[in-house]
Amino acid sequence: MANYAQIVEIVAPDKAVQGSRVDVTVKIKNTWTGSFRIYCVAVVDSTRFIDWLNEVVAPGAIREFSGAFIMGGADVRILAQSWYEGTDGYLYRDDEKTKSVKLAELVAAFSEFRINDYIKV
Amino acid sequence: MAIETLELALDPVQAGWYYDPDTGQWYYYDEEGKRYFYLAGLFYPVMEWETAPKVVNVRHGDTLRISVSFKYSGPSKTCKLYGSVGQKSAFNIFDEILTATSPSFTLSESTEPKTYYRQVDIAITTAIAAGKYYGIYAKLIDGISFKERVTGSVALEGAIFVVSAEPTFSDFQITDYAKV
Repeated sequence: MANYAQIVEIVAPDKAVQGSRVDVTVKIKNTWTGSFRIYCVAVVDSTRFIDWLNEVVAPGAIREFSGAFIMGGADVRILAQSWYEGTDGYLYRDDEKTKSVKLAELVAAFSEFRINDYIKV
Repeated sequence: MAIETLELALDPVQAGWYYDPDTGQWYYYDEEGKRYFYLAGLFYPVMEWETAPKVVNVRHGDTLRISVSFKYSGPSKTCKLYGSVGQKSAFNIFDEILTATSPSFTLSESTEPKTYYRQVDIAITTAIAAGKYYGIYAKLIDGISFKERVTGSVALEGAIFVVSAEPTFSDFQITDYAKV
């Protein structure tokens, strides 16, 4: 259970094709009584694509932290975390959430075939 | 063999035989809605025909260049463009007389439809007669099934006219006569 902030949502597609860019937004709400600096980290396959982004957030407010990664050749799980800074100056993990992105199959699709012109050459 | 009456709601179509009351013919439709006419043990694809937007005059020995465009999304794919000059025969079958194939080209992997422009050159030979009109069509080949407006064109009727190589006189008339 989070102490000071809650990850409200991880916005990411359910499916992505290999090699495509996957945009991710982590929405974090300040659930404490005062403003404080929220740190956000998001990882996929051991790669940190949201790298300690941080912002001071007012009580009850929601802030969005965005990043992106390139989809690999298999299903992946995004792990997002919120962190806060303790009075001792160290960062402590607060909330954590995951979201899966499945590998989408790229299907061949043709359309709008037409003859535009024909000439004697 | 299941025989069914033609229903005009053909999208999606169930493969099978359908009776067309307009033509009084039985046709076979495949899973993609492509229509075939059956004759002497063979299936002939029935083409959709349109009147050509222009007529190009050609002579034997000329080359006709057909330029096409299409959209593609999906994995990387290699294919060729196929073009043909021919005539409309019974049941709207395109009777191919001259054909040509372009060199292979590769469609790049893409998640979004990308527009491609390609050309195929067809040599005009004496296989087609002078003094006649012919139709054209083009399609993608190499593991790609033909479907009008998707992987191939409709047939353009009367797209080319083969001009005789011999000197040709016509429309001779007396336009006036007078005392001079």
